[in-house]
Amino acid sequence: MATHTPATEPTTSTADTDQHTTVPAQETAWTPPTWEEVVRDHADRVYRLAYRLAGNKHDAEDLTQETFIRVFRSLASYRPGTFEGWLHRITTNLFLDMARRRSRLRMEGLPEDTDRIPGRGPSPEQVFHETHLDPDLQAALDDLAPEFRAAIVLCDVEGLSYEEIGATLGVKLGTVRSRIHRGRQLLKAGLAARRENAREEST
Amino acid sequence: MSALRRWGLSEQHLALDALVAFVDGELTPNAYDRAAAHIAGCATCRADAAAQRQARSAIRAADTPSMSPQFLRTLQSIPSETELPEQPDELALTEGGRLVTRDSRGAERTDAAQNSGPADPARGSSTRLGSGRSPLGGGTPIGGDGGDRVSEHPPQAKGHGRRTKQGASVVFSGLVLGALTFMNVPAEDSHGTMTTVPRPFPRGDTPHDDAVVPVSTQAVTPSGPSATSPPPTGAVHVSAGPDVEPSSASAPVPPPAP
Repeated sequence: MATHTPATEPTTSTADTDQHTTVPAQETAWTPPTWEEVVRDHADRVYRLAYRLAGNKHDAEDLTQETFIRVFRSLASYRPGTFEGWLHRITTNLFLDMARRRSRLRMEGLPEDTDRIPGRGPSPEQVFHETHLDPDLQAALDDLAPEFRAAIVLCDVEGLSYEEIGATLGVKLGTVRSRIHRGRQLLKAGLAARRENAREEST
Repeated sequence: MSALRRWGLSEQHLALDALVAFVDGELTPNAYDRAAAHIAGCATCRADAAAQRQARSAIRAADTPSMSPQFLRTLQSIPSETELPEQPDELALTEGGRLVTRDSRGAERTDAAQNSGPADPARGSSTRLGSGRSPLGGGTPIGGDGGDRVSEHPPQAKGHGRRTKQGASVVFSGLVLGALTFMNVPAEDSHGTMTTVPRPFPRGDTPHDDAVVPVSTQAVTPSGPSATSPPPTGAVHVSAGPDVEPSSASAPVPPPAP
């Protein structure tokens, strides 16, 4: 990451002011990356975040694709800065939108949309095959409310600071703290319950 | 003091906010030392901190899934599959697929000049911005809200029609606003105060990349949770003591009695 960090200058100067100012020897102007570079440098990260949030491959791909489509459409208004922060924000908010929409559908129980809501997601074998991730962990993550899940994924998968998480989710620091604390408590309890169940079934 | 004793239980332990910040190293050095001292002597808080660490390391230890190469190609081809909502003023894609910014006169700032044919044919797509045809390739759109509407129209041919439509909708919403204002004036006279003060956005950026913050909301923003009181009369209200967010970095250890 951080390949496109700007060379400290806002570079808002137009061409004619450039002619009058002394141009430093090194190239200070921010060179926009090619689309190929944007995808190469950021896709893995976005996909990982999307996967941890959404919990399955299909939704993760949808989220990732939609994120990059938004990025492509808004590149014109992008100013050199934290590209990663921008991506986190788009991905997370798309996920929260998706989760809210689905819970609304579930409440209303629209029959024609039921096929869009997978019963309980992919089977544990599928999860493990796709991710090599402890299926209990992903299932416990999936059981968390989207807001809690987003907070702890941003913290523990992405390694963001509380302040960055607050900026990403648009909430205050106190909210970030309590969501992480509560989210981890619930996650741990969910994990313990699942392992307990598994132990009972196997005996 | 009796109130303090009634809350004794929470007083004897770290606030949960402080505890999680302790685990994640988000406390100031001073607060960290106090929290560490408390945890050293308090089994309950020690157990809570351990639970937080266990959950954290369970997530951290998990391997991360990776994309299929096929999906990566889908992402790479977004420029040729996606239609831009409008012609961008400051950005263009050269024949070689390089994104370039333009200044107001249309001259390109990067060295990849557009005038002399294909600059770098080896590069990915050669689609110019705005000339893509098919909307969004495959996959169900996730956001489903804003931008996707635009992609239902074929790009070039309907440009005029769309602009007309936008103009019409601007006029329409202008009318609606006018009507609302007109209707509100007598109501305000009779009721005096409006009870609905727009709730301020939480600090930081807008939560959605396409969210619209009403101007009036921005003006009211500085007030904190107690946003119900200030009348919109612009009376300066300096005693903002309790409104300030309580000590973002340094959590009290142990917390003050409520």
